[in-house]
Amino acid sequence: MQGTVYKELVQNRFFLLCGLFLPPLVYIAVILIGLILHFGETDFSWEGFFSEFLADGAMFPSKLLILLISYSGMRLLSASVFSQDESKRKSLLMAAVPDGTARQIYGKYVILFMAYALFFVSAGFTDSFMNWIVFCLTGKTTPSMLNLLALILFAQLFLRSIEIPFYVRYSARIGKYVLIILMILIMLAMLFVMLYVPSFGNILTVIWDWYNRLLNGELAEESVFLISVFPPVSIAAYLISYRISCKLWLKGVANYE
Amino acid sequence: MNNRSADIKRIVIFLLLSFAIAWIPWIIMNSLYDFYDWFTGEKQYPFLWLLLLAGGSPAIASFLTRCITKEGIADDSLRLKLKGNLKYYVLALLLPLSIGLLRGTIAQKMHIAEDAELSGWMTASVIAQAFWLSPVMAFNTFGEEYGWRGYLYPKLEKVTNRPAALIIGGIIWGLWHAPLTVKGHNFGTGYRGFPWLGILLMCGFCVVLGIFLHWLTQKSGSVYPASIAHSATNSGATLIMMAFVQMNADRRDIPLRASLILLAPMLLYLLFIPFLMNRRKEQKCV
Repeated sequence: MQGTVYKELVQNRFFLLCGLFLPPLVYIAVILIGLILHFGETDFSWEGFFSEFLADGAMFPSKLLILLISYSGMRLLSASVFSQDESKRKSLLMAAVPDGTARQIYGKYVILFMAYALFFVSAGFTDSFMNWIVFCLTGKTTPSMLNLLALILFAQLFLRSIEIPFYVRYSARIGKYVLIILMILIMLAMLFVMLYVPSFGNILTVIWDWYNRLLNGELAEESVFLISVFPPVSIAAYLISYRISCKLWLKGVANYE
Repeated sequence: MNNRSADIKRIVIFLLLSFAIAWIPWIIMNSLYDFYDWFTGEKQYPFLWLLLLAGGSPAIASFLTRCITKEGIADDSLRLKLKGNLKYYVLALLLPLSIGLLRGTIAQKMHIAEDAELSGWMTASVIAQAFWLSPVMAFNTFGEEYGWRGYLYPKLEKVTNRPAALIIGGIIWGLWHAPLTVKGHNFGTGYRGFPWLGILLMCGFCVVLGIFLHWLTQKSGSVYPASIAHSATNSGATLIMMAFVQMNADRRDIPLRASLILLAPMLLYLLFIPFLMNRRKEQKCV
């Protein structure tokens, strides 16, 4: 008998394929847009195009745009991993199975992790391949994106670890609204505290000062340390989020139709 | 065809494919560029996809062999099997990093390289990075582990016995690195007996490391702990060592004595031989 991870693999194969093929497809799309912008130029050359578009200064914004588009696509699809199983009858049947709750949630968390990990590998592979084309045509090497990609992978895991318990507790459809309302409430509370708690202004000044020093490169070593410990923190958050989701799932099932 | 000759045929096909897929790009790259440029230097990134492809050749070869010989591609070792096996995942990360710590201490005490002179923040950063970078970079070593520990070693065990499989498998794994070793990978180029001694040492190193990696695969029934341990040995331990000494990517002039002293702590993996000979509680992975 196959487990819940197998069930999720079958159900979410499109999501996993997106993780695998989104980075190369978006790369191709961005290059096509670049080609369209240069369409009809009499002095067009591939060497010049890649040199200007990828190898020189324009490269980094292009890559960031690629990543932004790709991760937005992944973010939209991750909600569907939860919404597709939101049936009260099926969920109650799953809950009746030994360890059913944990297995149901485990499958979802594993699939999300797999999709983002596939995305990371695929994006790294594609970016390196693009750099190879640039290198062959222009002889220039571009900076590695692997570290940035790894950090974005963990940032995504961290964000998902906050979102998923809301999807589980209130269903994917309602959960995102609950999350938005909660964020607005937190911001309002912050505003209230800033206005009416006198010492809070001092704390904010300290944080703002620290943030400015960080941006100006005065805290280079501390910032490297913060970046270095972020991945373990996000993994811990993902595991805690899984535990919380396991506890909330049956309450969420009551909201399903 | 009986089982033994079928397994031998599968091993031969697997080896031909995994050597061809890795060696052809490596030899081409060696002829086009300086090894320390394309393998470790600033030109490495454009060729990372090629390194991944060549490094993943044992996995590709395993998949192709299964298709060609109609063995079937279903493989239990691809499952994570976290339940009850978490200790192997933890050990896969911690032991190579601890050995990296030992190697770094030895390098510093014996003045094999210049002291790192990192600040407290940077030392903490490097150590933290070693812990998370090892599992992340396991995608790089997964190809080798799926091919060698997931396919070749169990097949060799079937046609010979476990001690012979560990030695033959390790030698094959070491020889597979030969196009890199002859250009200075791990041992540099300026030693007496170059490059044959380097190839021989690489085979010995692979036999020793293979013992630990095979033990992990057999005990957990999954190739992922071995992938993490391999990655922790390659990148994690190197990062840990950077907290102690200045690690230069260009190692062509490093004395052989220094390389041997740095690799010596890995002999600790030999302690896993008795555990590997005891087949109780092992999980079938192929």
